[in-house]
Amino acid sequence: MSEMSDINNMPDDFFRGEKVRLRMMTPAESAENGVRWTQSTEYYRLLDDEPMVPASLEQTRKHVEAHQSKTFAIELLDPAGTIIGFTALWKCETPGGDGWLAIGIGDSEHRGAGRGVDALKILARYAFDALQLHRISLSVFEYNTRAMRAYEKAGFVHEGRIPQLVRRDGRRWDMLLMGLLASDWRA
Amino acid sequence: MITTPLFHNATVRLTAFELEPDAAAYARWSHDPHFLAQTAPDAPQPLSAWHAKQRIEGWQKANDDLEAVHLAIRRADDPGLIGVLSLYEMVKLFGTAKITLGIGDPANRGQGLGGAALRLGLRYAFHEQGLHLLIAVLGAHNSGAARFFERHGFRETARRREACQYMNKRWDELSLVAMAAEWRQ
Repeated sequence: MSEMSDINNMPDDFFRGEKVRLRMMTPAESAENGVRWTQSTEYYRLLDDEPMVPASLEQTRKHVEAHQSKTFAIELLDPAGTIIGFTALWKCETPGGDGWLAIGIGDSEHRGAGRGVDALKILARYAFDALQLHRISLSVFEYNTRAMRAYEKAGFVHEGRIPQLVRRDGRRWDMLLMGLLASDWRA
Repeated sequence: MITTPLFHNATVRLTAFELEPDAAAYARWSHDPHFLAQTAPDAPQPLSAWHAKQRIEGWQKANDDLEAVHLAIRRADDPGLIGVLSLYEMVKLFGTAKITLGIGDPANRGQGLGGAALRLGLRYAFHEQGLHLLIAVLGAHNSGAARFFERHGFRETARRREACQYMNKRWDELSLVAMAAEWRQ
């Protein structure tokens, strides 16, 4: 009977944080927002190591559909429903496994207000309590110091780097690796 | 030097695969999960010669498509396959690749054959493929392999905690890196 009442008392705010909530993003939303956000080349270059090539909505839609991941829209709680970014988990189907994380806040005016950290905390709860992952991994360019600080605030631990992996703006940059264990998160 | 042979030295050769004889040897080694854990990212499977042929054909295709370079390791004076050296996940744009090397039969280890093959492989990677950076990704349970790569100029730059599962335990996943700029023949 106690198991039944636990289920009946489950919070309905599992995917809601203090500033944002997560819900699955449709391929159409991924494509439309992806095209809009990548009008800023800064956004793209913080997110991806492939050299940037402008793409139409249709090209972007096809690219999004070809990539398997659990992609969430990051929505503001207030005003409700505004999509400000995305977050996604790859290779997360194996309980006890290691999932890979990506996150981007598309509009620069929405950055720097703790919304990314809020989204990361919701995603961590999902990864560990719902997917039973053992750890979450991510990579971040050494020039993306704002993202690095957000990951640190969300509890991710530095785990080293691949030096000089990426070339951009006439020089090479390290790719940093960070990880969050279920045991880190539950501590 | 341009005239120095790329693919052989006094003790070992790096060659293309020969499907029939090589598949038989690889199939035998595949029954040792420790060997596959070092050299193949997928779950270990005890292969038949037929399966091993398919795997080798896959390598040949990847080589033909310029996606990877998978090479057979043989003694300088004997046609038998003794190991595999692979450059994979090559990103030509950045000049980077991952590398694995395995000597299949434990009786052939500890004699410097792997080291001789790796030295040829490094020269090939840096001076013929023009790569800038090589990454060896290993489970921490594979301490012999980590020491092997470190003896040849690789250094550990990342350790992803408890990212591997092997033999019912969790292990860190190490990345060991060699840079062309730091490599000396």
